[in-house]
Amino acid sequence: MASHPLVRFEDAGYAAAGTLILRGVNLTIEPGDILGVSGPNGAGKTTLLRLTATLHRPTSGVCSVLDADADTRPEELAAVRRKIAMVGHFPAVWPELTLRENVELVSRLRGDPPSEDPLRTVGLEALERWKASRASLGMKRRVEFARLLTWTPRLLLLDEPHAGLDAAAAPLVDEVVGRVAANGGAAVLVSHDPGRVTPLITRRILVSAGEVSEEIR
Amino acid sequence: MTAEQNGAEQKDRSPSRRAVLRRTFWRQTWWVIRKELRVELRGGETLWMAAPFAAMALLLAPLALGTDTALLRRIGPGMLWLVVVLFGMTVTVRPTSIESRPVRDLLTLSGLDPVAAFLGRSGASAALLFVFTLVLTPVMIVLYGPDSAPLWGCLLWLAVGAAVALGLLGTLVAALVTGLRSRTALAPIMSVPLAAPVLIAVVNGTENALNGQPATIWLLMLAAVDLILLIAGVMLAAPLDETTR
Repeated sequence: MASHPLVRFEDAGYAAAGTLILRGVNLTIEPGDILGVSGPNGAGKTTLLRLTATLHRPTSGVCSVLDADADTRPEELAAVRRKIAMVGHFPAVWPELTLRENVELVSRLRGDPPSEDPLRTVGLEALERWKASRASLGMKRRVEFARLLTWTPRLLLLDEPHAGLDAAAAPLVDEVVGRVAANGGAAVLVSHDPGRVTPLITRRILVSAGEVSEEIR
Repeated sequence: MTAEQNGAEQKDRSPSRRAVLRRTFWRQTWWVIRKELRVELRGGETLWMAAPFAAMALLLAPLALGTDTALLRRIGPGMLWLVVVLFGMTVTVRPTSIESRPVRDLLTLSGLDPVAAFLGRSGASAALLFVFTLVLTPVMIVLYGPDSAPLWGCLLWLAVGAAVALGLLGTLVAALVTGLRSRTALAPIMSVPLAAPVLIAVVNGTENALNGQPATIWLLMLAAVDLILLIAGVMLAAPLDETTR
């Protein structure tokens, strides 16, 4: 029996400020999929990721994410969004908060149960009192991965997941992606450097000039 | 609809589920207030930058007007609240309360209720404005020497009502201009005229209270403005959150 797709795009398109960014996207993401997305700058990769995160709505066609689409009520959409995690190209941290507070705040807002100290796992325990404004890009990326260690999303979306991470921290990407796939979820990894994500992915798509094509591996 | 879906729907609307959602909502509101205050206390934009400038503004009027004590007594409450509104609006639309896009995305995907975010930010702004007013009121009393025997309780409620109104208004305007390039200029231009009813109520109320007369009608006006802004903010929070993304 075919599994129910987590994400389904049907002839989906997205335009902003009169510019067509994506068009005619047909794509399904099944449980266990680890999808690699590559393509040149400005091709529409990040927009595809934001549509998958429900942060954008398609301006044409259908985009269903964890069964939420354009007709989904706001409270149901909020529940769907709680099952999605995204680590974007720029770190999402509050500069005035400490590294620990940056992890703790999101966990509190989500209402996650207490877990093992994620800062220790990502090697930032000793720097937990540092304000994020003092932290390097790599430390901020570790904070973002620390947040992902406190729960397992159904859909994990990573934009340039290895950017800023040193060799010691790179296995964090493998760990969170592996955990999501093992729990019946799916991951989407956007990367300019396909070589870094190739060992992880099960499928790859290419985004070029707003169009998406599946690559045969 | 299948029996399973029906059951799930009923489960979603059960009293225990609603209680959990309520607890989640208030917990999120509380954590947003904590975060906003913590960021502000560390950044110090309000108390260390706006308050000294506001105190200087209060000082300049007596210097310009000279020793006409009767005039100073008359304009004291108006000057205090004009300064609170003008400088206070810069507090409520402070840059640190406007989240970057990655942070907004993170909050959305964390399940933060836009209404809880609105109430949390408004609550934090109101608390900051209340402290701001408490710092400036003695300055006004010393410099402008209003008549004695004020109704302190009444003054306190006026300060609370005005802080809540300006906190709600500033947060609402900040949400409206989020994502606009000229937001730092637009926010005060939009919010100060909308603060006119607050200014009228609180200035008249303060005049009454400083003269030992009740200010019930002005307190009621402030409460009405608070309520209108609260309803507007609660109704607009979610649509604004979606459309400004």
